[in-house]
Amino acid sequence: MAQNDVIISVKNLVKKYGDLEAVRGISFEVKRGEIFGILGPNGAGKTTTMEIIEGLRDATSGEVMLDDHDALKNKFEIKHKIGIQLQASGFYDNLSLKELINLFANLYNREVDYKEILKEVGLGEKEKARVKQLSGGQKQRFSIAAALVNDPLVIFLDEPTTGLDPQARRNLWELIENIKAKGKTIILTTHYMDEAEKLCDRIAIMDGGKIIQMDTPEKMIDDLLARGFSKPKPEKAANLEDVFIELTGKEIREE
Amino acid sequence: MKPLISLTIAATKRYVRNVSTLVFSLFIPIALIFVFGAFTNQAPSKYSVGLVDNANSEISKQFVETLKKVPVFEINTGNENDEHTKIDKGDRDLVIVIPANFGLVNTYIAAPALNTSDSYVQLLYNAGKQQQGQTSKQVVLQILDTQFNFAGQRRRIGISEETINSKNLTIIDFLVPGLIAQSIMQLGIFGVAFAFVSQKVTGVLKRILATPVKAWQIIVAEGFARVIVSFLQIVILIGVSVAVYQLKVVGNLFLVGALALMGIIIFQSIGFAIAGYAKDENQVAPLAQIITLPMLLLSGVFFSRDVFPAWLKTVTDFFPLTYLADGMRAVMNTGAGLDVIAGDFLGLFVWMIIAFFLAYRLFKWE
Repeated sequence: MAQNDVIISVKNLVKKYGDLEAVRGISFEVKRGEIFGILGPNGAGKTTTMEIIEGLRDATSGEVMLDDHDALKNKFEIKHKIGIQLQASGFYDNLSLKELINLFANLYNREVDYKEILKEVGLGEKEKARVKQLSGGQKQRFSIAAALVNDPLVIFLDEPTTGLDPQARRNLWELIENIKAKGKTIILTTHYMDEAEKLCDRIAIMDGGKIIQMDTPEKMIDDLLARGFSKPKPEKAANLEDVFIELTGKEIREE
Repeated sequence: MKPLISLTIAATKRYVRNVSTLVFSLFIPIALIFVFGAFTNQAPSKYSVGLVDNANSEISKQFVETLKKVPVFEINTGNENDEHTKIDKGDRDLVIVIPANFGLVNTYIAAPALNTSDSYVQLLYNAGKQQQGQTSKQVVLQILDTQFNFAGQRRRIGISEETINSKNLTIIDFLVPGLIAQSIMQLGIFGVAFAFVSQKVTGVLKRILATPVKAWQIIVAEGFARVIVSFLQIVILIGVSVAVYQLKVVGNLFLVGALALMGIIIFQSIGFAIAGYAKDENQVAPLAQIITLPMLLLSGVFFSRDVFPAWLKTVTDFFPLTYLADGMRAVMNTGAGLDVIAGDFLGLFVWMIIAFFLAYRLFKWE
């Protein structure tokens, strides 16, 4: 792998909260233009890892390079290169989507065409709305729009589809794939394995603060089968979600 | 600069669009001005006239009786000293002093000017009530004309006039500086504490800090937005009071502004300290109430602290709102300069340091 292909490189990253070791010396690399998934049960250290790379938390030890910059030291430079959608993302009340997008752009010392950005995430008609008036899916799409204002190299999405209905999830998958198609690198956490399988080029599975496996989804599944795994009850060619989508359609429902 | 300006504008917009805080810090004070104003202006058409009858003769009594029949006069009789004091304080619109020789000098003279042996009715006007003064003079002249039948002759009983610079303090004059101080406190403490805790709880602060903006820029922007809003409120409160209730602002407006700025810094710092200490909105309310309520009731905002027992007056002397309200009142009502309110300035300055230190120690971003 040529050095230039790697946009994020994490080495021996450790994060301790007092006696609790939330991240225990993990190392991984993210390639330019891929969707990299971090999976794992709650408390595995996914969000902590993301927030250290994002410059929101200090690492206890280790090294994080992002686009050839030391992400642990040059936090402000890094913040210009990344876009962030936080797990519990809040936005100011009493400001319209238009005002929020312009505000966020200004925080990066930039001017943006708010109309274009809102249109990109399917909120072109909502520029005057307040965030609290949006549906769950719209809120997540707005959150992604706010992450795009600085035309970042890397976008971090922390559980973007949690709590959304199947239509809204599919709609968000499309949006994420569109962003990837523009050459952006995406780091994603999720609890939905179908989502990881569909979206992610590569996956790291974390548990107890460690990466216990890292590979492409296909390779992981093939390896499991090669170890002689078989499902107790063979799966049918369709599942209940297919039934649900077949019956209710892919059309996104808002409100 | 762009992030700072943008954050300040955004914070100002958010504040102005927040109906509940605006109601508390602007509409309630205005409503109070109207409520108290309604009490003050109950009978605005009556003139409070102080009457001093130094002659105490049949003729002077006749004059007094006629004066008492004038519908717009509310006659109060008293001695000269008391009535002088009352017009000084603004309790009288007009004082009429009947000379001892009233009615004793009543012969026609041809000389163009009255000489010293003639009789003068002295009228003391309240400088703040010029209109009433002029009307009263005409009324008094007419009564004299009728009683002594001056028609076609020179008046032998003259009128000497003096204008007194009365303080003329109304409830509104007392109340408005206190209400301004109170609105600065409410906006600072409640406005900052609730806004910041809710931003912490909802993750807004974390999201903003994920951009390259610096923490101090957020604090400065939020603080400056409230300075803007606070000054707008002060202008509106003074404007309404001047327009509707003829509030008299005699002092230096820059001094009013300087006091306001110190108050804003103190109460915002307390707001930040509360926001730092409290984990959610439910903890903000009682904390903010415990701090603001005693000051609201005991700092002399709505009534003078002169009615307090000595110990309570001493304790409340040291409240930041007392310094602010007293300083504002001294400047706005009596035109006090920096020398007069030096004590209030010093008190505010000490509180500014204490509050800033508290905010610095207690404020946390998460």
